[in-house]
Amino acid sequence: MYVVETENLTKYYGRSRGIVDLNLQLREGEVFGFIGPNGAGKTTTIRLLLNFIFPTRGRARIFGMDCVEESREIKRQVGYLPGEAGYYGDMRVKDFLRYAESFYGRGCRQRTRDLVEALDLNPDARIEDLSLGNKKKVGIVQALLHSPRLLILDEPTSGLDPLIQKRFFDLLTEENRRGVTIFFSSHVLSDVQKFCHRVGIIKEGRLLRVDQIEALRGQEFKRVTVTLRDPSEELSVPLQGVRDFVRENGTYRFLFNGDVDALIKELARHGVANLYLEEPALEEVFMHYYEKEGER
Amino acid sequence: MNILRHDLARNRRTFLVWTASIAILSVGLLSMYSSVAGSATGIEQYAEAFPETLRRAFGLDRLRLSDILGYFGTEVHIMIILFGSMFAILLSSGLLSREENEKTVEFLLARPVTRYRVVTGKLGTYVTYVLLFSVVVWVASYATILIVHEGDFDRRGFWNLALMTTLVLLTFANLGFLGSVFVTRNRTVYSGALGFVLVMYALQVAADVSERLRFLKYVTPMKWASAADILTAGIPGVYLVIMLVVNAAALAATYYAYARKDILL
Repeated sequence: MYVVETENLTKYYGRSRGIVDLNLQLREGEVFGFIGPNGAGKTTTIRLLLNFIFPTRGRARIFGMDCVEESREIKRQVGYLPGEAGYYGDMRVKDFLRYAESFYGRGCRQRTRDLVEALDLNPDARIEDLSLGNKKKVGIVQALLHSPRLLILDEPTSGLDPLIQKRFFDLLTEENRRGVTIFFSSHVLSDVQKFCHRVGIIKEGRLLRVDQIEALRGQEFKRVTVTLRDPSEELSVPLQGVRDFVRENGTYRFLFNGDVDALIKELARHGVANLYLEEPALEEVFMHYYEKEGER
Repeated sequence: MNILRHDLARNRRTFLVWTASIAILSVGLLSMYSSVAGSATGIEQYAEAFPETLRRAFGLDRLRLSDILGYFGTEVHIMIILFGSMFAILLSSGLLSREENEKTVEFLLARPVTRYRVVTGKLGTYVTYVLLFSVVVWVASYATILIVHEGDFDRRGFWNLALMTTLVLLTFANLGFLGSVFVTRNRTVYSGALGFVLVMYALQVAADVSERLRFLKYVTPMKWASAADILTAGIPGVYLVIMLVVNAAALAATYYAYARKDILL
């Protein structure tokens, strides 16, 4: 039995496309990255899983239960961290968490207390007075306090500073070690690469492919931007792994997934005025990823 | 129960402010009765000077200003039913829509609850507060009448009016609740709700003053608790039946629609 399983899951909003014929399987205990550009259908998929919206056709199951018919049972075992959370701003953290606890008929009190402590959250603060990072912590606590077997996270790292991000990932890793399956939606490639076992790539509402994370890792492209000191000088980079080489007003841009050391040494033969090595936009990586598939 | 308790707490202040304001308004207006009654002939002549349509609109064709319930029915009751309806509809229409506006609905629906239970919790919240509102306002009004008015009056008529007015408030609340399933943007919800109450009031006036528009009495809930009607003729059974049908239909539609609705943020 899969933890999450969808069969031709499809959602149209009127005539506009949400997702089309999505077939996904999540295994027990894995961390599954769900990645794609904004508007690809990640949030639509999550909302279908949680029955906030109803499928146009197809079906989804969680723990073998139907996401529409048995949604209430499913939610006893699912924790959800929304991308953009609203948590009754005028309430105090502790009152809000008590309200969250009240939906589960068993003792979550101790667990909540542990989480609040672990995340260093002030229980007496008003939620609307909290910083974005602290609001996210409240979200994490409400998603975890009933010890769910499946965690659904929608863009969980957006707006978190690196320190909190690390603590957040530590917490998730710990949960995962205890057997919790994690569905991790993101448009940040590096988060998914760091943390997930398998990854599903969605684009324009369709699942393009599902891969082990290692397969993506070989594709670790960097976006390189170089400006030479002397604009009249011609730059060429005769190295493996250079793609999309363009020149704009004396600035050169390309994607690179070869040996960085070789690249630096190559560039060092010129007078470099400026150099950026950045994570490329997801779209850029995908483009090459699939062109390459096509060539095979 | 936890949703009910949560929403009662969140709306307590709104309830207290509205209830206190309307109760004080009613008590204040009734306290002025003795000075009106003191110049009884004068005030009646003054009222008779009004054009016939205006007299009908205020119920002065059937009620007398110098009589305590006549005074209450023409001067005070209109405040209670108009502002009470606004309170009821603003309260009920905000309960579901606010969860969506503030994006808290994602939190709520990720809990192990059915949509039916969510609707029931919200329904319980506004029914509780509308009933409490009515009890406070009508008991305060009754007590004030006992103080400012010496002698007997039609107690049964007073409580009939109280009952029908409360039912009208609940009707407005139920209709606003239904509307808020479909219209969820904050400003649209609230202005739509207030607009609805005012239009219904206008229809009631139209039904009172114009023979041709008399049929509107079946359309506007305001007319179902008209002071002039109830104080002179008792509770009309036909309005009770219409009210029962309208409310049952509104609630059924609310449950049905909310349970099948795509929650889009």
